[in-house]
Amino acid sequence: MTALDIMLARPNYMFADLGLDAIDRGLADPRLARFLEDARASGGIADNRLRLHMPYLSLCSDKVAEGVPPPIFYVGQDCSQRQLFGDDWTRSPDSGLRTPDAELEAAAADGYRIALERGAYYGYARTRLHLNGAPVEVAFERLIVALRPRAGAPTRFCAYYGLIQSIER
Amino acid sequence: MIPLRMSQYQHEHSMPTNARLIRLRQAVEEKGLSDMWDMILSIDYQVSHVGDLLPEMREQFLDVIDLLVRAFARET
Repeated sequence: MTALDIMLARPNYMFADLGLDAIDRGLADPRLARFLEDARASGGIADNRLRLHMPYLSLCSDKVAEGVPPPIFYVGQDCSQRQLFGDDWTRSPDSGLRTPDAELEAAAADGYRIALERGAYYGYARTRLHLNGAPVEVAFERLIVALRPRAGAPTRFCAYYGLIQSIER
Repeated sequence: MIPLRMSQYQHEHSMPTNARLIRLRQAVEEKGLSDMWDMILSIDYQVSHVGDLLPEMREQFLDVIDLLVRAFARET
């Protein structure tokens, strides 16, 4: 097998579930650790502690299925998905519901399912994307927390905090 | 000439926004998403009532609510 074969055989993405222990042991970015700390302190309720983090979050529903992450309804001004896909993506008629890369969407779905089951998910991901027609490799940390809008509310939603570690062209 | 009753009068610029607001509020209530509406208003806009938002901010808020209704409408 040649180096080219290995490169071609390499999957377009890698997602690793690192578990919340990794955050507790100080291995995560401090911004993500602070978000988890605030979410825990609130008892999983979206209270005023969430306000600090809102610019960096995207919010989505709890409608997750096999290989299909929940649709997005809110994209913070400094959210990593906005950094990657741009302001135009957030403004186009339907795209607020889905990020534009179908393969990445499918690979990312499990994190949302785990967050809804356990309350939160923390992981590392590396993926290839096409941005502005050019292939890039993006590495990022992501923390997804399942929250309720108020104590006792039947509705839950997912708050996604992604931090891009590198973009290689 | 048909007399105009003041109760029927609405400023032309207020019509589309109010219609959108009413439509989305109804959809939110039908889907049991009133808690989400209140949460987004209070945390992201720091007001307790949509009427407290300036017109531009109200449109932004309704854009989010539009997506919210669609995001929770999908059955999986």
